[in-house]
Amino acid sequence: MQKGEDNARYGLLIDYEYCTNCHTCEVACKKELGLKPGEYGIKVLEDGPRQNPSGKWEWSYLPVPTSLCNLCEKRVAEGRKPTCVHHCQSGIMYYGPVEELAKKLAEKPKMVLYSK
Amino acid sequence: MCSNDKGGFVPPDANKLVARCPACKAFNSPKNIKCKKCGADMPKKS
Amino acid sequence: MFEDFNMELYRTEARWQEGEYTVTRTSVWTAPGCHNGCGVLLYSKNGKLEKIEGDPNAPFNRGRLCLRCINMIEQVYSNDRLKWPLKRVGEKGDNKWQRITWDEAYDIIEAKYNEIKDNHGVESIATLVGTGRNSMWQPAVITRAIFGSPNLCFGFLSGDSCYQPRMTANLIKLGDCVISDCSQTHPLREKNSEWKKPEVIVVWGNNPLVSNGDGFMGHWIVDMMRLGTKLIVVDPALTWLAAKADIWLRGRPGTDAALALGFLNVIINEDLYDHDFVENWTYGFEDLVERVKEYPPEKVADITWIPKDQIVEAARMYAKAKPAAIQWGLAIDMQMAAMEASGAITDLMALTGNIDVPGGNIIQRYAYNRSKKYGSAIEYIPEEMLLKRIGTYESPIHESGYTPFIPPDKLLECLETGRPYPVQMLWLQGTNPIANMAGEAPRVYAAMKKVPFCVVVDLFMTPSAVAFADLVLPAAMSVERDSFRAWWTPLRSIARGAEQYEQSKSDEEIVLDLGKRIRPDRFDKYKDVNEYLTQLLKEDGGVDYDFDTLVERVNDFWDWDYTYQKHEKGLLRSDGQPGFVTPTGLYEFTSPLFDVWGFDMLPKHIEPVEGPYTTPELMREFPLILTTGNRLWGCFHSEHRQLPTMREIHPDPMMDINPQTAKELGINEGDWVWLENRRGRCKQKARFNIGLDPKVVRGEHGWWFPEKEGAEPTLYGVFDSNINNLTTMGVHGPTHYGAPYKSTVCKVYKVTPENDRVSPTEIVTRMGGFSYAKR
Repeated sequence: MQKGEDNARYGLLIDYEYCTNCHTCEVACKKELGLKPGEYGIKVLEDGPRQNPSGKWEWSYLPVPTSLCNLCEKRVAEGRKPTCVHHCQSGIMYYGPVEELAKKLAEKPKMVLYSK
Repeated sequence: MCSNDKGGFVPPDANKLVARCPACKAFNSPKNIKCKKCGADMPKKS
Repeated sequence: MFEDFNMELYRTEARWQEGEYTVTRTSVWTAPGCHNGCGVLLYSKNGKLEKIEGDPNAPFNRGRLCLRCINMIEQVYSNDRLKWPLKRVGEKGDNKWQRITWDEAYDIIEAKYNEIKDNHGVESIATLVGTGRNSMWQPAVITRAIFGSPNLCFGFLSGDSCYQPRMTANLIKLGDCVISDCSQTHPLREKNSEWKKPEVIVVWGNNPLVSNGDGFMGHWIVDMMRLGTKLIVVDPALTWLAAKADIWLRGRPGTDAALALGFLNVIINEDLYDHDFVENWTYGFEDLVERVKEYPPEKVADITWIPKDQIVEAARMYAKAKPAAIQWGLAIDMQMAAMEASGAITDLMALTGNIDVPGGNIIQRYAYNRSKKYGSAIEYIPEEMLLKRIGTYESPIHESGYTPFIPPDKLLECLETGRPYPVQMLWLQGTNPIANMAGEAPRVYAAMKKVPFCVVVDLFMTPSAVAFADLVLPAAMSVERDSFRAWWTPLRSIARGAEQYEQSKSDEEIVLDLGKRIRPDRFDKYKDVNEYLTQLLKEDGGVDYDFDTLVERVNDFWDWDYTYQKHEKGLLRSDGQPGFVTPTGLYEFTSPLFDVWGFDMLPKHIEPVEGPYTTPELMREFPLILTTGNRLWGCFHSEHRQLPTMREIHPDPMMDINPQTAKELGINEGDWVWLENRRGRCKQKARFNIGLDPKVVRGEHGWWFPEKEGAEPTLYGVFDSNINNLTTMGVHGPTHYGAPYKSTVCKVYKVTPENDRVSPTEIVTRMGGFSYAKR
């Protein structure tokens, strides 16, 4: 959990297959960074809903960290997870060195890796 | 156990809600004097 | 996914010091409103809550939180909160108040109580409560044990249509309530070796991710999906869960009983049922076999508008999955056939052998039988006073004691007619009826205005308080309370992590204060809230420890609740015999009780009272089916509208419409539109829902505007966007349960300056209501 001494690049891995758009990450981030209305450190984007030719519905949400995101450096220094990772209701966000997260990225489809 | 009489969310005592005809086993209201199905006398509640 | 927390930081005791912060590890329930009881860490400094985090060591939520708790600081320290008791000084509706002390407020209440007792009888005091939060047993105790009145009522929720139909159907058919088993009953969760993952979950009539109803944390469904559980979703609208489901059944609102009967037909005819359970543990199966012959899939397809093949496919998928769970919700309650649909869906669980098996629908009681909720203190009401309950003896199920409420539709008639006697005083605790649950809200507004004296206990000044109250008392929030939660499991502490805001008091303190004044014989034995809570934890065979010990334990899982196949083990009946708590001792497909009460013994379809098949002529004027009450992320019913963070996410009330229907009506996305039927109209903003049936629209509930003027005629704009201008009171199913909140009709048209000269709230508060409602 602790940021290493190795100057490794850290990031967030998000399994967006199960993002439900519950807004928890957005608001947890606002509270942590003390952001005003209209400001976001992470924002959930939407694709869909629309029906694929097979009849299956396509409807995805994707949390996107903004330039205000500092990967919760204060929390991380205290030994906590970034607040979005801690509180995500689907439990689909992971924090760590991007090289480690990249290995996890290979485990299943519909994941994205953000580097900071 | 909690009881319905003390406000617990459990069913009321079934004996207060239904009575079975001794002759044909039909379910009756405990208020019935005779069975609604076969007409037999229902037992008196003690 | 819920691992790797820093366990040196996230400790397992109840309180510790962390730098300048005192950390309190407990659970949160009410207020703000929520049905769940998530574990939290409250970080406070000098008695003020500074930070909140989800508790990674709480098996219930495992660190996760939703917006309501994440945004707790903004809520607790909102400057709009009620700060001290207020006494009305202007006319009702003027929103003019005088600050008074608690003692002055109690003096007024006590004097009024004595006057009513001497001149009218205590039965002419009626209490209104809201939905299932930690303000259930407290108003029940105030009403029954302190005032001595038998009249406790849902705040004009027509047909008691929130969980009461489903719970009551469960209690009648098997003597206990069942919930879908996502491992939440055991402290080890998925690692409990007895537990199995549901192969299929049927999400029926709720969007649990948003609603979190009935003590069920909606995102447990996502946990199950990640383990491989498949979904069947029954919903008229496309939800995210519906989009992810193997089968989405888009039914016509109000036809769930027919759909369940269609499932039962397929499962019986294709011999997909659990013979062992049916033969050994059930009563009346042959009668059910006969009844389902009336519901072949073709006919059910015509009734529900769901293609026949989908009905058959879904029934097979559910029946073949072992185990399978049904996660049901409020939409089942909010229809004419609420009891019938609830019974038929429970029959599905029994027929497929999914009752009380791991990963099925598990039988639950309140942890250690601790919570009595709305039924509390009924033992204090003598028989002759019970007989004075308003409307109760017109409903055999209410009379029998299954639901501890008086029927709300009958209380409304009583206010309107003064029969059987005029109500002299209304006590509202944690309910804002005209903004939220009252059907036909303008009618309820007029009726409540007739009651001479009214007390409101709440967090903020509300439209109901401004319109009716003589006294307004400020309630404390969950983080400021000492209390506990025993709704399902575990038994959870609710421990104070911050000092109470200004002069607010917890519901428990209000109970004790009033109890000591009016009924010292019953309440003087408790020194303080702590002692009172200990009594509630221990009495009638509860736990063997006191409240402080519960605070230390934080969570206590009751092993009874996570034991499976309790009917086989003799754990359900008081005689210790195997079987269920029913007249036959078996699961009852046909209900002898229903027969005794004069109801149909078996489930059946009942058409909505307004709709294409019952009122085709009405459909020419109001061609759309209206369903209401879909939930909002973060906003609980009518709460949270004064919080900037919530309003950033939900600035305006939204109605959903299929884009094709909107195009035909000349409506663009984001336009303000009127929803109107013969009872009234309200305005909301159009949002396109591509999956919604073109003949169905959906409107949000609970909207009022704290940013607007509180005094009448504006009254926080409570009727402007109020979907309950269009719903009904006094229209309910044959058992007195279930009302068509989610299946009525309307028309939709654009708001223009010409058709929006007088606001709906002004029409209701100043002009006697919508003129067409009087036709």
